Amino acid sequence: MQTSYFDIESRGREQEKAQVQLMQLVGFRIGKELFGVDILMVQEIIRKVPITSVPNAPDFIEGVINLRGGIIPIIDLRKRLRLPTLDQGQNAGTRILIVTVDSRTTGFIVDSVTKVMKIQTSDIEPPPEIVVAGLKSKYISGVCKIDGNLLILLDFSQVLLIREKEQLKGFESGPDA
Amino acid sequence: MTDLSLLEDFIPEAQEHLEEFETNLLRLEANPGDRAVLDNIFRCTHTIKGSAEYLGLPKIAALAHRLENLLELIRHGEATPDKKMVDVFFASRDRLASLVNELQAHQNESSPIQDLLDKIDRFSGLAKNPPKEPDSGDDFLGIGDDLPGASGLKQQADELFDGEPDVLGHLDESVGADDPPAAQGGVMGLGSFDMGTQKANNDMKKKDLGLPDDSKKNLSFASPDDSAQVKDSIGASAIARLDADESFEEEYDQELYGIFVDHLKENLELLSAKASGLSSSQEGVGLLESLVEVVAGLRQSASYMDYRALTAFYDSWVGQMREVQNRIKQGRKESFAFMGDFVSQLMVRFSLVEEKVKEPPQKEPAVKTVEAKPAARVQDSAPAAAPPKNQQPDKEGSQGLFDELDAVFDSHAAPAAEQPLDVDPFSDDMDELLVTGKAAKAELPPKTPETKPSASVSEFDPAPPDKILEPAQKAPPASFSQDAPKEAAPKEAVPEKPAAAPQPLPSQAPVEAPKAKEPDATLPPAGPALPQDAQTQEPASALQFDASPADRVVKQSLRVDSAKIDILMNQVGELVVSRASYGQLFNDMRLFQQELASTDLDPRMLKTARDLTFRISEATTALGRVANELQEGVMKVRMLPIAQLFNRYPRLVRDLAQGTGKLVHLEIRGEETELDKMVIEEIADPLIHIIRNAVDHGLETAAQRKAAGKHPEGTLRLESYHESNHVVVEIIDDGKGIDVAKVGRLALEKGLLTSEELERMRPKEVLSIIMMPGFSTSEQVTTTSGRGVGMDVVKKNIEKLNGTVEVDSKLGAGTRVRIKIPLTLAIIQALLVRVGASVYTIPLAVVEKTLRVMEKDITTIEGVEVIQLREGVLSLLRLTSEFKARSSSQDPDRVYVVVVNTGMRQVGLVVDSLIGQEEVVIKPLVDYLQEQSGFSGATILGDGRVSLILDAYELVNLCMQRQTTRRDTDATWEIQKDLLPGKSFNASNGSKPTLH
Repeated sequence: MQTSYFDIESRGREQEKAQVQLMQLVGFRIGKELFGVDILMVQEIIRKVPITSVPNAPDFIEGVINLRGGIIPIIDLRKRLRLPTLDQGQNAGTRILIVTVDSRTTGFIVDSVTKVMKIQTSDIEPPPEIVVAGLKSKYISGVCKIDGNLLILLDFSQVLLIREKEQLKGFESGPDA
Repeated sequence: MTDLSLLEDFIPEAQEHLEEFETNLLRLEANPGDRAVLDNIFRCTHTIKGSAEYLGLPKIAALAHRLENLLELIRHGEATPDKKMVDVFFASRDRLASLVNELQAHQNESSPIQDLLDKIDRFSGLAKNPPKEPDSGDDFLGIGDDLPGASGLKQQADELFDGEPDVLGHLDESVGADDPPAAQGGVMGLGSFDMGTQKANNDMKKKDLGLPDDSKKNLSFASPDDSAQVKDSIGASAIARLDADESFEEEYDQELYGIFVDHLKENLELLSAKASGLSSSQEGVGLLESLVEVVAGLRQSASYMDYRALTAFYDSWVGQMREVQNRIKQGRKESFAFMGDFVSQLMVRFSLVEEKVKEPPQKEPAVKTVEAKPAARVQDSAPAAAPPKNQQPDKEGSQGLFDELDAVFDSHAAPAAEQPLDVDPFSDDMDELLVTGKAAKAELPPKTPETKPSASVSEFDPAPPDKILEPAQKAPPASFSQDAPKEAAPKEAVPEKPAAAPQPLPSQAPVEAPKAKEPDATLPPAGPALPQDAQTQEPASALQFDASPADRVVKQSLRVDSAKIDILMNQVGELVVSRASYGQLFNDMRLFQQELASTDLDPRMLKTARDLTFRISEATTALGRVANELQEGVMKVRMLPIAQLFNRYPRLVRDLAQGTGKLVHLEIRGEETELDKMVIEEIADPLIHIIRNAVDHGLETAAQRKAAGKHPEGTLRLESYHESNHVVVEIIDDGKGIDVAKVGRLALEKGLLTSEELERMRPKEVLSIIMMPGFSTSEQVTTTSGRGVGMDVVKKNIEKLNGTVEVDSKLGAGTRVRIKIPLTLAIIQALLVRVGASVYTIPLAVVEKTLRVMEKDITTIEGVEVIQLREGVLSLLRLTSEFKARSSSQDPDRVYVVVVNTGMRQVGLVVDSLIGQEEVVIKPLVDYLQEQSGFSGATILGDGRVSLILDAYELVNLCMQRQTTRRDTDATWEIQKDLLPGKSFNASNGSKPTLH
């Protein structure tokens, strides 16, 4: 019976809704900081591959890679967020997080990927006004505590779009200008 | 609610049809008599109308419908497409296009169409009224001497009735006088003459000559029977035409139908109330007048809905009322009984339609009134007989949703047509039979006292309602005669006219012996005649159907989502890339094998290695072949003839020519050249620009041309052809050309050039100044020959496609703009170069040549590195420094220079090494990396690495800007100078350089 089928489906949706309270995050590190991104945005995580640099692009754009026939721009998240560089010898930028934001696929270089975490959406607090971990609050969609650590949820559409565009507008006259 | 997916299908389809419509319209304008073109236009309109109606798009449907009506008139030679009319067609096309666009944008039609409808109606009205039977326009009131066609009609009447001065006189009278029925008959005859075949005419003449002269009375035509005969024959042919019209009709808008029914209902009540008030003739006149108006109003709405039988019914009604009015005026006493008949008929029929139920009780009354009526009618007048003719074909033609209504009125109008004589076994049409039968019953027929007809009456009596309500499942016994018309009806079309017209004639003319003539007519009036009829109609309809499929064959196509093709294309691109990597694999293998050969290896092992290399080579070749074919095939899917593009321009040129008052002859060549659809879309606007320039500024007015000794009509030629992997589109005019000196002077004035630079430039280079951004948009350009407005945009757009634009002009002789574009956007031939550690791709289209120059030959002029070549000075751009890469060049004394053409000048790009030429698949970069970056995209090399594709034009501009800012910081240089260093040179004659 169709009706009962739909009933089941809608019930399923309700359950899903209830579960939405639970959010899955991919945790990753840049330096000491722990970040998180909604797992649904993450397309995949790859090891670092040869990157073709794009001349005269902003410094945080590492270049482009070939991901199964697609050309994907790669952004160094550390440079992008202006986080402190690591000391020599430490394992910097070993992974590329392929994230789809606003239907654009971009790779972000991170130091390491930790694990998939489940958090309650209710646990997420709005970004504090003050600077967290040397990070401007506009890149942060929220913070939450996990095992005593502060996890920063990055707002990737901010990271990718606004500032970047601004910088890229100026890029036309050249970064040397 | 309109189904969105249907709409999605409809929109491109309609657009295609509109394009075709326009193309053919232009052809029609050039050659108004071209039947095929006309048919084509008609077909486009008809298709649009059909789909629009199906989708419930009232405006498009209504507009298309009116156009169709007008076209139909043109097809029948009742109107000629003069300039004004063509203009209206164009306007309608544009309106339709904007309606379609609105649909696309927000799913509804918002543009008003009434103005166009009125215009079209005016044309149709002009054409239609005179020759057509009373069903159109204000026939009754309007048919007079003042009608445009009246004199022509009379002339035709002369011909038609030349053997019968008496009749002719009457006819004249009737045309002029307000004697509607007569006029009706006369006009009808003329109408038929108009379209009828020679044969029909002859027949008619014969018959007319034989008309008994007892036709006196105060009414035009002679004895009822004779006049009826004439009309009969006439009517039949007119009907055939009507029918042709009808066969194109399709369902009507539900809404319209509803309005129509409501209107009918209202007026019906009014009518019945008033009619009952009519008792005596005296007071009746005024009332009658108002009734005439009401009926005329109904008639209007019926004619708008294209219910011809119904219209005819009203016509006869009005006619009769007029007649009665006349007679009353003449002091006679008249009974108004007929009014009641009409009203009750109308009511009965209407209720039938409304309920759409076929219940026997309802059929009964219907038939009864029908039967009763003739009696009353015939007393009244014979002339009223004319309309009934109509319904014969009408009935046949009734298909479509709402034709039931029409059909109802058909069957009912039939009796109104007391054809006394009509024992015509040949018309073998249900209606005829009915008519005959009824007539017989009414005891009117002075002619053939036939038993059969009356018999058939009873047999067929229930038929009309039956037919109306379920035409498909007629019971066999009563029906073979009915089936015939039904089958024939849909097919009946224009060509059928001639066939139909003569048919009734022979049988009717010799009233005395219809049977003698037709052997098989004797028995079942309908039966045997049937097959015969079907046969005669068959060829006619076949004729009609031949035309369209022939045209359609060409257009067979699949509509595929372009995204699907893009995906396929992408995959093919990948395949091409992996083919390249196989090529690399083979190279590596060969190197390895050579290495092995130099070692002391077992010769057998060596042989194995050699074999392996060979097999890899074979496999790579095979893969390459397949990949090539596949790539070509997929590319071809995207390829469309450039005609698609070129066909848009005749209209543009026409409008421009009209706007400027110039005479322009547009020549199109090579329209079959195929091009990627994307490319076609991309160059459409640039081409418009160039064409506009050519007509606006390039071509002179007729007077100027004459003065210059040229043909007054300017020629503009669009030409397209292949040149290796490119398509060349040329726009050539034979206008006044561009004054190179003037351009140079202006460039100097604007400070775009120094005089030395100008001196050094060749004419062609000077001409390319018109494509410079600063140059084109200002008004000063108009003071030169005007060319070049917006040319920089053109150039930019073309260059985006990896194409080039060249302007060539001879003062006084004309201008040629040459656009060279790659066949497709997706795959290009490219030159791979190494700069630092990276490999860059330069589209081969912009590469003029490659040079190998000594480092010491490079000098610096005004801060710009240049080399002196035989043709001039070439400015250089070091990519290593621009890209901030460390040179990977092995030989620091020599550098490779890739000379790229950026349209107005050439620049040498200094690279570390040249890798080779390859076919690459262009992949887009993220917008923020592509905009203003000097790169137009990226490609994946055989080894899987990404290589950026240089956008030479943008890159050079960017670098120039950067150099400027850089230099501005340490020294002050005039910006303009740096923007156009003018150290351009031309590389058409080869110099020393090594070519790779």
